Amino acid sequence: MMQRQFLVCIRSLLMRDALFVQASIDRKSQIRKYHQTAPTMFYKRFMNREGKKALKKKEEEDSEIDAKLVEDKVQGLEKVSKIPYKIRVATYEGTADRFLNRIFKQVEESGEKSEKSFNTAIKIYKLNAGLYMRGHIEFGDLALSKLEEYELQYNLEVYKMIFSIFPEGKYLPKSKIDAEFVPFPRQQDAALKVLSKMMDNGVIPDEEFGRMIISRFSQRSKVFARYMRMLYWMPKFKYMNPWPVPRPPPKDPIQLAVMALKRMSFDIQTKITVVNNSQDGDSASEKFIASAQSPKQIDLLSKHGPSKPIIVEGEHYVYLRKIQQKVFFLKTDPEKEIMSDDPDYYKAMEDKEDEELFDFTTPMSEEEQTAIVPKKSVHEQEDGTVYAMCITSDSSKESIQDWIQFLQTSNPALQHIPVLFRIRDADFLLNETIKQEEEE
Amino acid sequence: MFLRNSVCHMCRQNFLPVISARRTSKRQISMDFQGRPQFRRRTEREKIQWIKDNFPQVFKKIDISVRETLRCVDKLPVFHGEYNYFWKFDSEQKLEDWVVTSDSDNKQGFSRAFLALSRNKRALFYGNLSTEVPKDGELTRAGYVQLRSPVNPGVRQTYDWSDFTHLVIRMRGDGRTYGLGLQKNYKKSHAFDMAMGLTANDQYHYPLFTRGGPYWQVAKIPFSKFYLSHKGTVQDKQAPMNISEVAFLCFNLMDNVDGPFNLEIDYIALLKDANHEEKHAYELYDLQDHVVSAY
Repeated sequence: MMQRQFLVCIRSLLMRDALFVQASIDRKSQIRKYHQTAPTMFYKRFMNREGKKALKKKEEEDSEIDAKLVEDKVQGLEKVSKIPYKIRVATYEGTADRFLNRIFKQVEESGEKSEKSFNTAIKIYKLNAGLYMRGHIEFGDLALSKLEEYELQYNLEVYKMIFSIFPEGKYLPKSKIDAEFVPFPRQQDAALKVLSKMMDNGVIPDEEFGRMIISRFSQRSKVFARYMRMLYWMPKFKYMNPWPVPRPPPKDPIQLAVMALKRMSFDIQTKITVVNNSQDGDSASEKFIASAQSPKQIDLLSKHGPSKPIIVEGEHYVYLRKIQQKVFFLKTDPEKEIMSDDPDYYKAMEDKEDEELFDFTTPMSEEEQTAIVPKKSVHEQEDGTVYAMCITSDSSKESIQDWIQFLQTSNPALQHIPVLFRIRDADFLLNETIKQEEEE
Repeated sequence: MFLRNSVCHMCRQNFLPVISARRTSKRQISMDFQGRPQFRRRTEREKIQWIKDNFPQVFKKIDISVRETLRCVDKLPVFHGEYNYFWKFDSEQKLEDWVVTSDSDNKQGFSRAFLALSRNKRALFYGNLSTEVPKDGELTRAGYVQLRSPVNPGVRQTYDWSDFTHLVIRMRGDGRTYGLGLQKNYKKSHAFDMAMGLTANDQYHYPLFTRGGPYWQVAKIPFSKFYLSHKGTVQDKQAPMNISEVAFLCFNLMDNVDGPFNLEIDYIALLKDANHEEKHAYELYDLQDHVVSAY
């Protein structure tokens, strides 16, 4: 009796649960079924069970994102001109590409572009990727191309996060011979792309990076060989440049101008002064003039007579690794014209050698007095003497006139000397030669 | 000028010009209809035509080569502090034999490069580097430009720089890092290497850092610091350079930076500095065979 009652109670409880389960199955069947592949699992977690209106809204959002992506592609193609062959723009995207492109868009819409958002994007992919990690090569390529937008090229941790997409233990070879015939070559190529991007940006990998590589691809892989090559060569090349530019470079144009002027000046005593002409107090529209002059140049200017003119030579380019700036110089013309050697090369060589052969002195001969000339400084060159250099925010003629007015405060001699402006575009020579070639 | 008025830091001696009998003379490189020089082997028809065109000059060539071989017997030693001008850019004659190449010549890019005499009568190497990748389907990067020196005329097409230890270049750049390359015998490798010139693309490389600005800059680089590279990639197995067989010197630009460039060169010289005892700056490890590969 007790047993039967017990069984009846349990049966009723189970029936109650079964009814509930049946109802839930009916509810799920209302959801539209997508194509049955792994990416469908991702969509289910993103979707809310609200109703058809919410579904329609999401469809509209999806179509907007699709349109944006197609527009971006077409804009990129319009810049390229004169292609002999046709390019077909895909008006649809595969489900994997859709999902991958959408991760970053969602993350950007929510907040700023920073390291946190980048890491959350990678985590979203990893959580939803499942067993097979479908599309991880394409995601790796996408993430590498997005690094410059987020300004994270010089960050080691981000490269480690991107590299952790590869699963551990799957791509290991089984023997030495197996390793020689490169197993999973596409995956190794994707890993090599990550390492080559690090090499381009000057990021040196860690020991932890090496351990990650060994767990995913073994020690006998091309990836590990390149990692060891980077560890050997990059620390040697890092300190080769006697005038290094920091990575990442500063964004303030004043700092960049001061760095460039410091590098260009040979004299240690040069003073670089920055004159700010910010009228409204807006930091965006700041005008500045950065001028470099040493006390030796001030001395030379004071001795320069008012008869000869001084020339402001116009726009020359100066590069700080990737940043381009325009410089102006205060110079004089050379005193004598620079003579070329005689066209009769051999005779000239023989004459010079004969003269130098008999240049020795013996203790018997009397010493002839030669003229004692003061040693020329760095600023006095065969081209002419250099008096000052400047970089301005605008590189316009007005800013240069302001610069000369500023120089007249410290060099009163400048007020009496005529100043000529010889300003040309920095691309003048290039454009002329290209025009000449086209005419021919 | 720098070399004549300067003094060695260690022994306080003036640098002196070398009293040697090495001379360079002009060479006529065969040109394309587009003006590009040809470095492949000539066919018999071309050889016959060349002889017909240059019949009187053939004797001059033999004369020069004989003179060089005779002079090597009476070679004078080079002492500490002596220098020799390899090339001085004074007039347009000196610019004739220098070769300018860019990736647009090989249909691998869109950059332009030119060589001309500047207003100060110095060589100006200028142009525009573009990192735009052409849509081949094969290329992923683009943008290189090269200035190449002429090869020693005569039978022996190499320069013998084994007496010297340093390369001295006086130039004025725009802040970019150029690359210096020294390439070994390039025609001999075609003759004696069975497989299409294995060592033809071996270049000993070192970067040339410029400051930018109006001041002339002197770069003094020892030969021991050059590292081996093949077609641009640095090799794992390094070896000291054989300086007695240098075919030519080149200035490269492979910055990955988009924009115009210009480099003004005054002279290129060779210096002997006895205080420099280094023979090779990089370690000579024995590597396992499965590691050494070009990837």
